[in-house]
Parts: sequence; C-alpha cells; structure tokens
Amino acid sequence: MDLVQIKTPTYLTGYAESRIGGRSENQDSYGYCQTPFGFLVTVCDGMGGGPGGKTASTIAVREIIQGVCEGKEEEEPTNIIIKAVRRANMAIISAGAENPALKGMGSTCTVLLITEECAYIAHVGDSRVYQFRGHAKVFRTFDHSMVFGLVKQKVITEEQARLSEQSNIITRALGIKPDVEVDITIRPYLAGDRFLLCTDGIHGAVPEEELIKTATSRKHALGALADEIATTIDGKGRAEGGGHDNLTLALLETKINSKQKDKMGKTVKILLAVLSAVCLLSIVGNILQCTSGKNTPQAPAEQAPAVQDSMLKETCASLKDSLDKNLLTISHLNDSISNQADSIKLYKENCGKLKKENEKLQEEVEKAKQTASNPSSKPKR
Amino acid sequence: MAKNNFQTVYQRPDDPYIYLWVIGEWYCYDPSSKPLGSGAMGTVFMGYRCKDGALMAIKRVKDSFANNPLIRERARQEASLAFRHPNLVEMIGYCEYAPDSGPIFMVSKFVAGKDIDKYVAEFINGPDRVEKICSAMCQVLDALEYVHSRGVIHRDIKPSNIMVEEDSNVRLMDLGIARMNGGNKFSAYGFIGTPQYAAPEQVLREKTGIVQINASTDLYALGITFYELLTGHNPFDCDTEIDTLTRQIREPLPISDQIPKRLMNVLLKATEKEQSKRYQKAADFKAAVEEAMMPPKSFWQRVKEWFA
Repeated sequence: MDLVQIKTPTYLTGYAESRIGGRSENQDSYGYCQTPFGFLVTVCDGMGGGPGGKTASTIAVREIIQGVCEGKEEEEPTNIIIKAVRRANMAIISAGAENPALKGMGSTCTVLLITEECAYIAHVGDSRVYQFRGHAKVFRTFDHSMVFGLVKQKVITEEQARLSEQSNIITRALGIKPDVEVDITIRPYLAGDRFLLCTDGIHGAVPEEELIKTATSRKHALGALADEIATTIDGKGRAEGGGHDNLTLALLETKINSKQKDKMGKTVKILLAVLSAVCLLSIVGNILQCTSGKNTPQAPAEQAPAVQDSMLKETCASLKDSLDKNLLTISHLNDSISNQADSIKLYKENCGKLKKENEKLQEEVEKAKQTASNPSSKPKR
Repeated sequence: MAKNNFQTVYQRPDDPYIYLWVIGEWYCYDPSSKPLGSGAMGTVFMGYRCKDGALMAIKRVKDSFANNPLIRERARQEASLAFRHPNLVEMIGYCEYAPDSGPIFMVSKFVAGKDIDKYVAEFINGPDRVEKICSAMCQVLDALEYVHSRGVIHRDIKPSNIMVEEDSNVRLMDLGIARMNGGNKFSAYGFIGTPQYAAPEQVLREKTGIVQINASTDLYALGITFYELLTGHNPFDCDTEIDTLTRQIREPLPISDQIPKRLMNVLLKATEKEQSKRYQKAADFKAAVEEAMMPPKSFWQRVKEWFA
C-alpha cells in the first residue's frame, strides 16, 4: 500500500503506510477516523494462516473505529476505547466460530485517540506505540510477548528479545479468548511531539536506537520520513533474502501543547532537588559570611577607614543582590512545585476515575457472562 | 478433498468412521471415540488399517494450525521421514482433505504402552529404580543418536513424548510439526518446544542464526527429563511459562540426593547452560550414563587413564 496522508484535525498532521514485505499476503491493517471523542488511529497485525490473518486485522480496525464512534458521551474515553477493543475481540471470535477456514485467527491492536486535552494509548499484543519528543523516546508500550516477559524479568536484553527466534510468540491477542486485557495509558504532549504506531515488521527489523533516530529526524518532511522508514526496512528485508514480515506504520506529529501537562519526570525531580539544595547552601553561606563580617574585630581606624567603608558597602550590596536572586529562584521553584502538585492531583483523580470505570466494566463483563451461560434468563421480546 | 478427482478423506452417511487414504492404503478412525491423547497441536485417536485391522495412531492437527501453510509443509516433511529404528515410533504417512486447506491427519503405528512417567511411577520406591530409568534413557539416547545422525533435531524431548511398551522397549514419539513457526505470529502455543524442558538456546536463538539449535539442545531436554524421572518433579517448573524460562536460563540444575552422585554429575554436564560445555553427541551422553552406573574406578586405574 502506498504512503497515505491521514486527514487529521488542525492540531495534528500524519501519514500511514503498509507494505507486504516478503510475505505472500499483507495481514496488517490500519485505519483512522475523526470521532466525537477525538482523532483515532489504529494499527493491527493479524495472525493465522489462509485468509484468517487479514480478516482478523480488518475486523479489528473496523470494530475499534465503530466502537469508539458509537461511544456514549457521558463515558470516559478510556472506557470507550477498552469497550471498542473488547468489541473487536468478540467480533473476531464470532467470525472464527462461523467459518472453519478462519478458526484460530487473531490480531494485535494499537489504538491512539488524540484530543486537545491529551492522548489515549491502548494496545494488545506486540504492535507498538511510541511517543517521541525532540530526538528522544518519552513513551513506548510494552509488548505482550513471551520474550518481552523475559526482558521484564531482566533475563534477556531488549536486543536479544528482538533477535530471538521466538520473538513472534505473543501472550495476548484479540480473538483468542472472550476476556481480553487491554493496556491503556493517558499521555500529555507538547507541540512537535511525534506518535508512531507500528507492527513488529517495523520495530522488530531494526535496533530501537536506529528506529528512534530515523523517526525523530527533522531533516525531512513527516510524510517523507514515514516513507523512508518503510522503504529502509523493506529494502533491508530484501537484502537479507526476502521472506520478511509485513510492515505497517502510522506517524503523527502534534502542532499544539495538550491541555493536560506532563507529569514531572524523575530526572526533573532530581534536578529540582539539586538546584534547591544549591540555593539553600548559597543562602546559608551568605548569612554566615554576613555574621562573620560583623564579628571580625575592626581594623584600627587609622588604617584607611574610607577604603574599608567602601569595601563593606560593596560586599553588602552584592550580598543583597545575591539574596534577592535566591529569593526569586525559590519563588520560581515554589510555583513549579505547586504546578506539579496540581498535575499530580489531576493524575490521581484520573486514576481514581479509571479504577471506578474498570470496576464497572468488569461487572458488565460478569453480567454478560452470566447471561451467556444462562440463556433462559434472557428477556423475551 | 479431491486429489485428481479422488477423495483422500471420506465419510459414509451413517458410518461413524472417517476413512483416510495414505500411501496407497485406507485407514480409518472414529472421531467420536475417546482420544488417546490431546496436545497443543492436535488430538490423537486410535485408528485401524482397513485391510487387516492393524492398530494405528491417527493425529488430527488442530484446524487453527492446519490453516497455516508453514505447518502443513512441516507435517508433510515429518510424515515423509522414513525413519526405522526400534526406539522410534514408525510413521506411516500424511493425509490432507485438500492440498492447501482443510484438516490434516498424520498416521503412525500404534504403540501399545504407557508414557514413561507412568511407567516409572510403578517402581518409584523399588530398589532398581535408578537402573530401570537409566536403561530406558539409554534407549532414548539410541533413538536420538539415530535421528541426529540424519540431521534432524527433535526439539521437544519430554516424558509425554517417550512411550514404554509392555516388553520395556522404549519409543520416542512425535518428531514434531510445531518445531517451525516460520516467523508467523503465534499465541503462546507457538513456542517451539516445552518451556519446562527447553534449553536456553531455544529462547536465545537468534533469527540471524548465531546461536544454533543442535544435538546438544535435545540432550539438554533429555537431561531435564532424566532428572524429573529420578526425582519425581521438574526442576524448573513454575506457574507461568515466563517464570519457567527465566529459571531455565538462569539457574543450574539443583543437586538432588535422590540421584547417585556420579549420575548427578552426568546430568549436570548434560544440562550446562552453555551448549559447548554439554555432551555433543547422544552416544557420549549414553557412555557417561553407563560409566556412572559401573562400580567406581580404583585410584590406580584413574592414574593409568590420566597418563594414557
């Protein structure tokens, strides 16, 4: 499939591309849509032989988009996304049950719902979502795969996991069992941040540093960059003898800062603590210097008193300046800390809401299970 | 269904049997009968050769895997292995509904016996427990020597793939159709091997092929199987596959006082994490087991051997 410019709202720009690689069919699918809750992009990677793989990823894309579009206004976007992914899961299972040729099919999924408020990222399986800022990765989903389980346990490195022959064994997928666990997270963003959604045909083909370097390059336009990533990986696969995986990616760039602010990072916290400590030490030092200056026995009046006076005045003036500066820094720090506290509070509130919604969803699932196991209890129409 | 207008898989109305045409002969099985066994890849039924009623084992590969062209190819390969060895299950052939779709069946001779762990459970507290287990393992090593010499690595050695016949003859089963995943995405069933017996290289093996699967991979798995039969438990088994593999990669085989010291040393060498430190041939492993079961050498014998 050729490079496609995604029709995005004004606060975004994006491109997507999907290629067959060295396989006989392309089992990857992607889709995008302006929904009532924000702009939605999804990339899915199908599994299963015959027509199964492509069918599963196509169903996943369709159902996720429809699920989000049909979400209720009063619901949280996180819940809407989770429900949409679960709807896709059930749709794949039903399709597999109806047609023996499709039995065993499944799909991974990545979902990005981006609003002016923040970005919602969900995934199941080993397709990934990256968030880049400048030339660095600030967020990445964690693969639901066997080898990444070993990475989590620090048994093998990410590079070993990427190169492992068993890297294609996933521990979670749509279409396998009725209750699928969906990982979802909320990310604030800044203008110029890039989001990359990709299948393992992209992230499994090159070391992560190389992918980050290419995806964060500012030398080319975004569309050219998306095409360059696909072309480079496709070319590499061919050079290595073909037979390489399908490759699909969607690359988006934000044009505004999200309303939700970034949670303070660990590095920032450490930096602030160090700066505060330096300021405090400087203040204490200045005070000590002042008091020691007062206690120093006065030099005999006959030894150039005028020079002494002027020196004392200069020292006092510089101390005053230094104190003023320090006070200013402290007030800035105070502001920053209170901002961060607000942000943390907001985050905690969001967490609380998410928890409640999750509990509700679980109850709904249990009810649905009960209804399924006891069909006689279904209301008659 | 049709190969040159000929039905290879056939079911008559009102007849419970499914008939399979394999290498010029008809075989049949009753899909509603109780399966002999069921694994990740498929279900095994008792079957018959139509002309004389000889017992057969017929494996119907799960439809979800049968939809994978790479697995179909591997099944064809396995069925074509013309291996004849007293310690291997004899493969008859392969049958498919249609060349590239529908169910696939693998027909092999029926082994009248039991899994080796059930066989061992009968004499677990007997005085000749170690000798009997060693004898059975040596037969598996003979089978492995034969298979390896023909360039095939089993990759899924475990107790449930070793059968003991009534006359104590041991047969290695299931040369495996799941040993090649061909880069396609799989759910957890796609793991090549069984985590409880998998050598580290079965996870660490790279697509680029720097770390290789070879005979020592099977010998590692047999070392773990050997240990399990002697102690009654798998040394690395955990609640999750990931935890099991973590232990498999990180931890050495725990020393057990249920295993004679010299035999324990043999198992420790067979289950070294580094492939190069293990036995490289099944025959070497077998010789070491036999040596460990002999009376210990005298000091002068050892000195003589050292100088030789």
